Amino acid sequence: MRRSVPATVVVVVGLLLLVNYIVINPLLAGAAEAVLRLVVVLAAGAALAGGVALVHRHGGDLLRGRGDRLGSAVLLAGLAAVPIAGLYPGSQGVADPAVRWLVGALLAPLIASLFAMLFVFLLLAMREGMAIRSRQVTVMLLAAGVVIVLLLPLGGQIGASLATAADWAMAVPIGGVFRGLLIGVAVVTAVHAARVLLVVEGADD
Amino acid sequence: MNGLVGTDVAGTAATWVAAVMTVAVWSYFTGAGRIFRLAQYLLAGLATGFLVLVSLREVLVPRLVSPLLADPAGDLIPWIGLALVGLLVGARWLPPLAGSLPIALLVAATTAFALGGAVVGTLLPQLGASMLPPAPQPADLVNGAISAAITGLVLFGFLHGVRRGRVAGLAAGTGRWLLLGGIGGWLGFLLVSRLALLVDRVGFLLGDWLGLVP
Amino acid sequence: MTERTSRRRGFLSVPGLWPFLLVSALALGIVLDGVIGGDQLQSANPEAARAAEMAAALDALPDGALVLVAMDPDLGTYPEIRGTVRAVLDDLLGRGARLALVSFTAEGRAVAAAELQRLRAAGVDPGRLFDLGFVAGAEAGLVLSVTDLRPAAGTAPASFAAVAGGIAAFDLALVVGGVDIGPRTWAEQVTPRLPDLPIAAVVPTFLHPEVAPYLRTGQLVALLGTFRDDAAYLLAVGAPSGVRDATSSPGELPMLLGLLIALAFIGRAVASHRPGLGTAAAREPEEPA
Repeated sequence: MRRSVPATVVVVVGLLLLVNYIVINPLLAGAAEAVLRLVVVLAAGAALAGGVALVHRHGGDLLRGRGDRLGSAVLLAGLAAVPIAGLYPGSQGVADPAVRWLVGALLAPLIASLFAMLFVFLLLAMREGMAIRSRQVTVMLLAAGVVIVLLLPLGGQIGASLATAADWAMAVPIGGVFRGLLIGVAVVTAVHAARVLLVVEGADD
Repeated sequence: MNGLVGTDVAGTAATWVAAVMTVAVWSYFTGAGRIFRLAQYLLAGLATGFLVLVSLREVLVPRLVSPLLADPAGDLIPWIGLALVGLLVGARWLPPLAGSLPIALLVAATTAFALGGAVVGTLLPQLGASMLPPAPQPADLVNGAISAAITGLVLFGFLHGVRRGRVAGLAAGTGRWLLLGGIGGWLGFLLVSRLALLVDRVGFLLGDWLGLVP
Repeated sequence: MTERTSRRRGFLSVPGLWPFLLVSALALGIVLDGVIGGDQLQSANPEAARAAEMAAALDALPDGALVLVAMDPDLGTYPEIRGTVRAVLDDLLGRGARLALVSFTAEGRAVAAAELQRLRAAGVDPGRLFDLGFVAGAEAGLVLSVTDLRPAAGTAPASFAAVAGGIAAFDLALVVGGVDIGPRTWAEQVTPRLPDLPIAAVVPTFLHPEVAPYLRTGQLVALLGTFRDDAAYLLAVGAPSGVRDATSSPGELPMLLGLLIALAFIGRAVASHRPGLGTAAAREPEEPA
């Protein structure tokens, strides 16, 4: 089988990092560290590339009058504001008061409000889930209900009893299920990663 | 006070803006989709802008630009890094192969760490923990046995498309029901978590913004 | 469907009405929190084992301990654990520890910058606070940091040399986790390389089931992973600065009201279930996932 250049890079670099995990060798360790330094820089480069792609897409929309122009303008304004606040001469970067203001006044409340909304959406999803009338959904909702009861913020004797039950439930049945899940997911992850590294199943894609 | 902004004029302005943002996001419930979409656009721009800022200021400059400016003939790695970052950023305008090289490097590292971490950090320790304790109390023994049995059945539940007998099939079916119960339990934890966030947000509006609660 | 039910559904289907009612109920709960309920309401988990484990992990630290705080919560879920994280940081500083904050996610970096500013504004000795900035690359960045942890330019004082040896130089890692990077990532990537490094963690409630198994394996020495464990810890150590009410955050009454509403939803949904009416595929127990 003829392997493409990117697939060869994946195999060689991936195996280098894996072998370095289990074999102590200064030469290997040096090569692995060099790869890690490159990956760290590349991950930051990927963020930069994402920003460039967003500017390209929405800047193009704005210039050509396509799509939601107001939305694109708002997005580009937000995208420009933070780097300007953190990169002007003399700026303290992320710790600059202007950046912290943008985070505290805009970014954090926007994300927090979205996450808070999810409580409502979850309730709606449960209602919709029951519309399909399957036993599986019933089991899931009953389990969710049991966990909620166990976490009710009650004091006194009831609270103490619930806390004892919650402690047992988290350690034994829930702990057992999630240990099985973690093991199962770890096996699946390991097998899939090995297939990628060995270029099985069209990893070139 | 969430501590993200101060108590001075800028902090007060931030609190008002944050409250407006919260109301703008929640306007979705009233059918004001346009305001909600604009809030999403702003969020996407700010989040990407922040990512670009930290990537530039705290990674690319100190780990790439500064070493190259300080000693261009020194370490070779920053030069390679610069070339790969250039390929990544300019991938849109370059031949596909050029852009795929840095991606291949990222995939290789992600895959290798996923494999190593899954086996050494999760698989082996969790398999060990699912064994019964060596000198247990009677209650521990019972609990350990229940937990191990559940773990084993859930693992059976992962068997898809494998030929199996009647007992193994029953175990796999039971395992999948347990898996569903576990996921439902996680849904309960998720609901509690999201409720805490909603309470915090309402508390912010009532306390920090309107001053109705201390 | 009866006419009465139909009218009720029509009433609740007014756009935004029932979320408004939900938020109003929670608002009422927040206003009346502490006034109603008394001893019958209690956030703090009576089973205080998790809080005790965290205290024990901090007790085990040497004088002037060097603690790495890996700040990687999500901005959206941080409010749930904000009070707990601040309490642990205050607790550590009260014990004379030196703190170095590092982030492997951008959102975590935003939180770390805000918390550092808060601590500096509170008068914490700058020589006991190190800003190690942001390390990109997720798992790769974490693994590199095991041996190579450096500050971003201009973000750390000259005394940084004390912590320049990478993660191995620290007495404890306190992992404030989120969806992307959390205690599980640390258990998978750092523990195999530094088995002697104790790792304590604070995570939002929804991550508890995923992270708790690592406590049993000993890969974590302590875990505060539910709002009830958080409240128990807050009750034990007292109110940190900047938290509305340390002993009841996020508030017993609004949490109780919200959870009861969720239970009512679940109860109503399950009660309306008629298994016999499901499709053949939905009734098949063999492949439920």
